[in-house]
Amino acid sequence: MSTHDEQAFTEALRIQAVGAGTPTLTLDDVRGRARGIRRRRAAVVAGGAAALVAAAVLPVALLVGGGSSPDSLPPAGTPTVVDTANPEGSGEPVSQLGSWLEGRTIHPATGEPFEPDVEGEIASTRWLSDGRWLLATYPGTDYALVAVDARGEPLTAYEGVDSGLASDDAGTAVAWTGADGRVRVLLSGSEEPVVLAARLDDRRAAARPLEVLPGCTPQECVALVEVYDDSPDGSSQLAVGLQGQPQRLDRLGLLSISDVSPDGALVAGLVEADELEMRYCSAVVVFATGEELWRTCDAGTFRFSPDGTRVLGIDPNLDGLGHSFTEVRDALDGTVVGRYEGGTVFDETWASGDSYLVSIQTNAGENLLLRVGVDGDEPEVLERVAGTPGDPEGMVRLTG
Amino acid sequence: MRTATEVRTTGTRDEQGRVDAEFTAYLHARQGALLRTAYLLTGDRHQAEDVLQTALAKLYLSWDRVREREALDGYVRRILVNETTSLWRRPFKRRERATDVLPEGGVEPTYDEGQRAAVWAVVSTLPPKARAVVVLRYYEGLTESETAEVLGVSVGTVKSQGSRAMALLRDRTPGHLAPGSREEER
Repeated sequence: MSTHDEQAFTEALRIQAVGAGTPTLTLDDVRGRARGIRRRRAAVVAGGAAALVAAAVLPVALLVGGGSSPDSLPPAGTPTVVDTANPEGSGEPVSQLGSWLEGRTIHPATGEPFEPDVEGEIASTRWLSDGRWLLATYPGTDYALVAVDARGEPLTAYEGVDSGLASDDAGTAVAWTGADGRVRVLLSGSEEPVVLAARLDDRRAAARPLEVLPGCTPQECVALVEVYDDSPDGSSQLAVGLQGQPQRLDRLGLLSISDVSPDGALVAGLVEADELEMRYCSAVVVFATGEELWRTCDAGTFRFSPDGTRVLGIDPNLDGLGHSFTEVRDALDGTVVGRYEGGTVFDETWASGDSYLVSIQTNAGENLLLRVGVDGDEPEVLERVAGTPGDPEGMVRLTG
Repeated sequence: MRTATEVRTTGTRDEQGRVDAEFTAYLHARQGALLRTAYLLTGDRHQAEDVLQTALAKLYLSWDRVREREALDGYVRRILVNETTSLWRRPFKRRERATDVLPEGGVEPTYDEGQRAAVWAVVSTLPPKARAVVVLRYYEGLTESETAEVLGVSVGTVKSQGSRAMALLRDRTPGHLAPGSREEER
């Protein structure tokens, strides 16, 4: 590497850094954020004491439930959106769990691979059980939301801001934030999204949807969102419904939410982060009460399996240039069920109740998409793409 | 006569006053530089301010635990890097956009906008820790071992990531970056 190149790099970065602007933080700003961090840490210690502040807008089943049975929600007899008409023709709900994106080609778990006929970079994808896919794209400098069919043909464009997509685990609903600060939820079988009630604080950045809770219908629907507000921490997690005010989720004692179980009974997230000690701990808590079932500092970013009985996590320490292992644990008690170490983990997602997909890069720079069974069988290679060590280009992305 | 409680309270106030005074001096002296580092790490002004505020708040809470005052910047850098890489792990990451218009003053540009944009485009595509290597090595001017310590990786990893970033830069920029290199080619 030449000294001239290094100097050029440094010079260019210095020029770019001027774009940061003028700092404006005061001691009061810092102390306010510090108070929030201290309060959250204290809330974690206090455990379920805050559980009495149960949110009124949450579905009753969520508040009374504590178990993680996949059939506890939605309530019996309640029509779900998967019962509605399927615009794609078959009428049967389709699960695309375990799909992936290679370049611009979507490889659905059910059906043939296709390249969506949309402009620009594909930023996010979510599938609906009626066969449609909702894509967030960047055509030029803009941001666009487009629903496409199972062949990639555009169906409907939606208005939204650049704050991501969220969905439930059954593919019945996908949420995003509109320009008016209100969350939209597109239901399987419907063309028009339902609009949730609250106009969320978007002065700093648009609210980011985290999850649509199960049982979302045009009559009752709750989404979890993160808003970037004036609170001491700089952001808050809220439950937003079709009516009423948003409910804060402080009772969960979580610094961030990584996933909600398919029945909505459990939540996984970060409970402790100590940068000085390089210690990051995650927990699974009961959504209704905030009761912590278990925690670990050996893995994190947990995501629930389709049947809700297990969680898939990664090492929490970002060792080296990425995460070094995936780990499956029992959702209710945190017992380690299985572990895979084969390269730098780029992305991971459940494919079924007993297997998951993981996108890794080997030390030689080869990008692999693997199907890993929780039973410890040899992983199956689904995709193999040449790459450069440390360069994410060519890594397979998993779809939500 | 003051009660024991009053004595303790006054002592606590005095202690807090000392921490606040020391911290305020540090804030005034360093937040500009730290914000610029945060901006290069995140690629977004709002996110940089947010991450920096969190990092400084954590420093404030740990003020008396960080005994070596010369280590303060290193501590904040480590938090900035950790906060940034944890942002990457979130389910959605806003698209990064290069700043189109730069504020006035501060740096005397010796490179044209195309080159600045080309470098930034390369940095923006790097994975978070590789990007952190570039920022710490070539912007902050840390040594390889200092960079490795902040990132919690080996010196070899820092070396290889720096080389790869530089190679990527050469591949993706239309001309050489070095001053006068285009002239030299003629």
